Amino acid sequence: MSNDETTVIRTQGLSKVYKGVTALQDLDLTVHRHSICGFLGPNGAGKTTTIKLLLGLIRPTGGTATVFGHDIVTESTAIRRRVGYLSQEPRYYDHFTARETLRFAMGFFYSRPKAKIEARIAETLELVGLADKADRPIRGFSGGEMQRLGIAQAQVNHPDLLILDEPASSLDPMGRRDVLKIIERLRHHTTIFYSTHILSDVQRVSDTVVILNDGKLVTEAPIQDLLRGSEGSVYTLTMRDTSHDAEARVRAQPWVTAVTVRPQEDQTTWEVHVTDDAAAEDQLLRLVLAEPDVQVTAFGRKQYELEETFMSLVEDQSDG
Amino acid sequence: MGSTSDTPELHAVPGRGWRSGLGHMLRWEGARWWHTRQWWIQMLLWTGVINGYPSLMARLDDSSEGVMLLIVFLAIFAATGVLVIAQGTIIGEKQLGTAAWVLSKPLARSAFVLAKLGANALAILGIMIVLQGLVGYAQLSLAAGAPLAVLPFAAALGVMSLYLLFFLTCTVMLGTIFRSRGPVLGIAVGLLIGGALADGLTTLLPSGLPGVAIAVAGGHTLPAWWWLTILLVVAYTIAAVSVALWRFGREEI
Repeated sequence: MSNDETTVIRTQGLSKVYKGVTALQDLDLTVHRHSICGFLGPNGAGKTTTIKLLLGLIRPTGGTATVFGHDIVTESTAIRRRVGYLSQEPRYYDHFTARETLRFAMGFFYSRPKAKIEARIAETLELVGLADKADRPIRGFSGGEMQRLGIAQAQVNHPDLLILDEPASSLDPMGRRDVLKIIERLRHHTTIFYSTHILSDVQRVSDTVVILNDGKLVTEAPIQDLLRGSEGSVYTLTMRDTSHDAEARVRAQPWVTAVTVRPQEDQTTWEVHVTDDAAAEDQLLRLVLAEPDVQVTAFGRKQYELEETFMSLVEDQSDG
Repeated sequence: MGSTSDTPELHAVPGRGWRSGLGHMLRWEGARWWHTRQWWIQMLLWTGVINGYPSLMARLDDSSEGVMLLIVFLAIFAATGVLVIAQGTIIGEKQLGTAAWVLSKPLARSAFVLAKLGANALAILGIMIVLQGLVGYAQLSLAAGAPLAVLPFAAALGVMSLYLLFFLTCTVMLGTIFRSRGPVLGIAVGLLIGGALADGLTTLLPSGLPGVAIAVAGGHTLPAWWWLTILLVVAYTIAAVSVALWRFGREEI
């Protein structure tokens, strides 16, 4: 499969200036097929602007972008034929029922047979848990129900790309959990590009992360790479009783660059910074356990919380 | 799971460039009129407003006076109704955010505007011209004791259709230009009232059309340059549609 066939979104120098204010500056971005890409950034970072540009709802002032190889300015309708979109503050015709809303949305993609269309609508309502409210006017829906309806209308046509702008930001924890479950269920069928402030959600479901700040790209990387941190590989060892000999032996290894010792009540934690993951995984624990008095209670590669990484990257970029 | 590969049994709507989504949008815009209470509320309202008073007059005087009143009422009240109905069609959707939702579907912007114009034009002409024409024709014929001449009456209604279509397209066009209802309604009402007051310019303005319609219906001498008035209003209407399409095509949603 060629690179072009696996690329869903590609932007090159994409920029947007509103009345002299730069909302997005020289964004270079690639999103691959079947990924769940979390699009992060503080308020005003340019996330919604990027999404609206990709959908052709606004026009770029610089650069180019394609979605499924279609140009966002000249082939916007062809793009929207393959995309489902949930906006940050979704608004639908409030005299419609949920079923009518989906029927209306579905009609832009399929014309017949009616029975199949109705079956698809029923299946989608079931997926998002609105089957029992399908025929009620949506003006009485709660925030969570509206958000689920939003996901339903975005994916009723089984799009190749689902773009969700803050899908869980206005929801309570239960609502957020439901939305994340739906996203996880959809991940096998479609590429998902979604913006959010909720970093724990991204950490839970995304495989790629794009961070934007002040309209500029801060980083774009697989989430595992981000969670490893920017300081290189770090392994943690937690142990009861410690040994200066063991510490000296570890420090003497050519692949160890630093050892930080943190005493904690009756245990001690070492953070061992290494240059060679294979050597660390193979030898580090053995080197420590060679000391008979040492009891290791935990060993593993240090995982950063996305929040730490996010704050660090955004602050670095703002300072720079 | 792609939209085309996954669902072979569903018949995909073909992409049609500037018409993409037009048929679907037109059906749903039409349904707003005909599948809700809107159509009979509007029907009762306009039958009362347009045909109520001419009906009383027709009993007292000759039928030509009734026809004239029918046209005058169409020119004043129906046109005002068109402005009120049309002023929110685009702006309302922009303000509520539903335009952004609908335009995130494979719907061409031109199709969005044309569907609004088409569905409203059909409903307005159906309820305000055809229905009121039929009611007016029936009651004025009954009052006269003989059927009125059909062709002049129908031609007069045709002229008034153009008059209402101008105000519809003009108001929709204004809705694509402004972001709030105030200027849209203000300018449209200004055109309606200002045109009626601009005595020397009626040949060049839509306000000249009711005079043409009254002359046609009554078999009177047509105003000088009547054809120019009709041609100009057709041109204004086409220009308003073109500006609406151009402007909405560049709208940042």
